[in-house]
Amino acid sequence: MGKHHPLIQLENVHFSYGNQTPIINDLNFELSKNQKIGLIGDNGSGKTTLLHLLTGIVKTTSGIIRFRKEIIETERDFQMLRKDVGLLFQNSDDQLFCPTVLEDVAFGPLNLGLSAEKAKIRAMETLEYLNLQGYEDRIIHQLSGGEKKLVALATILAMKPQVLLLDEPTTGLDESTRIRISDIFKNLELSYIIVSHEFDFLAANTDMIYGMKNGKINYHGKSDTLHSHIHSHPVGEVPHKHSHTQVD
Amino acid sequence: MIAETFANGSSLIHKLDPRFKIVTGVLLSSLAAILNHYIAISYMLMLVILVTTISKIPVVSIIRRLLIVNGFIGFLWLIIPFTHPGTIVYQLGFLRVTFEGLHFVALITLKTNALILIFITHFSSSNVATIGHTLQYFKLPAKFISLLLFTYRYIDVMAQEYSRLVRAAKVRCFKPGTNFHTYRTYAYFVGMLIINATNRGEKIHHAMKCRCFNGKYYSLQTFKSANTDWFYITIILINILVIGGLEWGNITP
Repeated sequence: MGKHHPLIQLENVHFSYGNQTPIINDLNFELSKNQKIGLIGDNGSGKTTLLHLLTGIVKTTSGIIRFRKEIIETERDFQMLRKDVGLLFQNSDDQLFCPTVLEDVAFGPLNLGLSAEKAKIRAMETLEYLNLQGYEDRIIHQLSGGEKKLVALATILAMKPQVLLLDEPTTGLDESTRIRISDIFKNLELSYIIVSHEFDFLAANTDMIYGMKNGKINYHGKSDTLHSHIHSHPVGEVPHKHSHTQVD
Repeated sequence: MIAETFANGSSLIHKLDPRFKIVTGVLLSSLAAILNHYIAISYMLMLVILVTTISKIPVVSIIRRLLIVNGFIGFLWLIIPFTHPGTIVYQLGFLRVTFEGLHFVALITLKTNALILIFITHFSSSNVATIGHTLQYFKLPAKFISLLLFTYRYIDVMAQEYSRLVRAAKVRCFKPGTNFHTYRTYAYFVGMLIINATNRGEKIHHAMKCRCFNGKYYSLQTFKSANTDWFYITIILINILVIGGLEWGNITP
C-alpha cells in the first residue's frame, strides 16, 4: 500500500555495539505516507533501537536509511530529518526537560525558527488540540504520569511532523489516559510507527503490525486479520499458511 | 517535590516584575552583608520586615525557615563569644566572654536574619523557572542558567530514584547499621544514582536533539514593568541611601 510515496525506507540496515551480537540485523523496512505501523516483539528485539536509528540518535553500522527517497547519512541530514520526524520517548521524564509545560511545548517550534510569539501561539494551539487547556503554566515535575505523556506528545505535535515514532506510548498509563491517547492517534493525519507490547492497542490504532525478533522483522500482517488470528490461536507468530490471513 | 511555598501568592511583592525584584534583592543583600553598625543593620532589618509583611507570606512558614537558620547561628553563640579575642566582660572559670565576641555574633545574627528575609521576599517569591529566565535577561552565562533550570527540573526525579533504591533495599530487609555491609550498600546507592543520572542526561540530550536543539536557548518569557515596579525600586533606593548614611555618615553608634 502507498508504495509510490515512501517516507522512510531502510535497506539492509545493521546495528551493533562493537563486536557484540547485532541488535538490528539486516533489516528492510518501509513506511509510506499516512501509513500506521505497529511494532511488536520481545524485550531486546531491537524495536526501540530501530526508532533511535530512524532519528539518528544512534548511527547504523551499515545499510541505508532513506527519507523521501533521499539517503540520510550525516548528522546534518538527520538534523533536517528531525524537523519532520518526531520521536516520543518511552519515559516522559527523558523527554520533558523544561520547568513549565508551555516552555517545553514551545521548545521545538523555537528551535525551528519561530518567533517567541508564534511559538507560543503554536504551543497553545497544540495544547488545546490535545484538550490540555490550562496546563500551560503547570510545573512539569508536578504532573502525573499520564499528564506528562500527553504533554510529551504535545511537544512533538507542536513541531508539525509528518512522521511520529512512538515508543511504548501507553506503558504504565491508566485506562482513561490510554483511551484518550488512542483517540488522539485515530484523528492524526500523518504516518506513525508505534512500538508496544499491547497487541490490542496496536490492532486498534494501526493498519499493519510487524513482529520483531533478534533485530529482524519476522512476521507482518494487516492489523485486523492478524489481531483475530493471534487471538484465535497463540502460535500465530510462527510462520505458517492460512487461507484467510495474509501472514506468511 | 520542590514545594516553592513562598512563590504562591498574589501580594504586591509577588506581582512585582521579577527583574526589579532581583535588582533590589541583590542591592539589599549586598548592602546587608557589609553593614557594621547596629543602627544601620537594625534599620535594614525593620525595612525587610516591613517588606515581608507586605508580601503576606504566612508568618508561620517564615518563622519555620528562620528557625532552621538560627539553629546554626545558635552554635555560633556557643563558640564565638568565648573564643573571639578582646575585652573580657564576664569570666566563668576558664571561660572568658569577650565584648568583641558578643558584638560580632550579634551582628551576624541580625545580618543573617535580614538576608534570609531579603531572599524570601525578593527571590523565593518567584518560582525558580522565572528566576532562571530573569537571569537570562540579565545575560548571565547560558550554562549557569541551564544548570539551575535542569537542577530544578530533575532534582525531584533524582529524589524519586533515590527513594526507589532505598525501597528496593528495604523490601529485602536492609537495616542500616555501623558496618561494612551498610557502607557498601550506600556506596552502591550513590553509584547507581550517578549512573542513572548520566544515562538520563544522555537521553535528555537525545530528546533535545530530536526537537532540533542546536545549542542555543530561546526564551518565551516577556517582561513588562509597571508603575508599581518603578515606585518600589525608588522607595528601596531611597532607603538604601538612608542606610548608607547611617553606616558611613558621621553618626556614632
